[in-house]
Amino acid sequence: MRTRAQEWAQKAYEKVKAAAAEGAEEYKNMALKFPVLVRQAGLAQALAFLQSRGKGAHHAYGNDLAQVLGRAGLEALAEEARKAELMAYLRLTREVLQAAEWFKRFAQALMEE
Amino acid sequence: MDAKALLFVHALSPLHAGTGQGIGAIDLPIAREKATGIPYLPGSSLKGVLRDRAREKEWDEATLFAVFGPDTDKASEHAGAVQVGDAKLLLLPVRSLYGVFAYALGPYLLERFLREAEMVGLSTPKVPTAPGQGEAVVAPGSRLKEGGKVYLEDLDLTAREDPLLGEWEAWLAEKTGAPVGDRLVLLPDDLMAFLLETATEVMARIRLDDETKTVARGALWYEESLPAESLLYTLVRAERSFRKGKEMPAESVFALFKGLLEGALQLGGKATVGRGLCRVRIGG
Repeated sequence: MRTRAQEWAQKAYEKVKAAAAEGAEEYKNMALKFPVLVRQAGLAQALAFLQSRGKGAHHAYGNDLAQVLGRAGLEALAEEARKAELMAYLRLTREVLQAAEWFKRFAQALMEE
Repeated sequence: MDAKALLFVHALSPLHAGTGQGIGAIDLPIAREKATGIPYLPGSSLKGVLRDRAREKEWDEATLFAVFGPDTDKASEHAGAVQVGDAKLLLLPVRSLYGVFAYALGPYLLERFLREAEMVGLSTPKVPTAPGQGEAVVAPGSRLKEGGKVYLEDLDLTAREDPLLGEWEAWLAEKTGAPVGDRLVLLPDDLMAFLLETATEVMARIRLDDETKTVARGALWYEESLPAESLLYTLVRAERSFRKGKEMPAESVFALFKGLLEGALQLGGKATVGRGLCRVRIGG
């Protein structure tokens, strides 16, 4: 038995490590910014923002985040956020925030300035 | 014999009662109760500010030590006569499409408040029936309501009117001096917990590089605050003075303490950038 945080931490670590190998500065910037974006703009809005950023590093970050949470990718997660009933939306927001915090932590640790 | 009262703390600017260091999304988060996530302002923070104010008002040392306790190096001599509890959040200001903002409250927050209100013998209005899922209870004719809905942050909730909310609005407005009239909304606990987590104010702050006048490398951080207009409450008890040669009954101690609450207080951190300007009122 492992905690939710451990699961997400391990998966996020692998994702960020793989992204770091490509030296994506944009990926890191988004990883640092995204949790606050969710808090300030709301989940659906923040995910839509990721989708609007084209197919680059920001999109890759969104995909990684969605996959850590067991979703197919950014599109699937964004659609779920748009369609979720209130309580499910609140829970999804919490989960995204918690996973995104691991991404932020590992991006700071593993990615070069 | 002791003297007790509830103090209401009304934030006039964002209030940052910090924990020093966060490892989450926010670099400088606010203090919250571990199990419930309710934001609070530690009693020590309030007590320290009032002690400082007593010095400014040139209380003599014996009185100051009798009321607030001796200086740290003599802490073992005797206890202070005043006990200041943690100030817990009662009403959270939340963005609303109508009425500028709403004062959000949940059944659990109210229950917590009633426990302490009962201790000091305050008579309060009755507790309204808790809202169902996706429901928001407002006072009849509340300005938050439009077409049977209440719109908070990005949540659309079904409005239900209850005259008891009107009674609470009047009671709170009178006791606290905060603009509660026509703004109070009772939300389901789960939703309230979510807002407590996500509807606080998060500000990005930077440090500029002197040479370039742009952001210095790595000098961006996020600070969390309770929004302006937040309303907190705390229980304050006064006992008799324990200081030899400076005996006072609880009532006199409390009268002295009350004298310190005039005007605005600066509570919590980040005072130099305008955080934590508060008005404190005794609610009986």
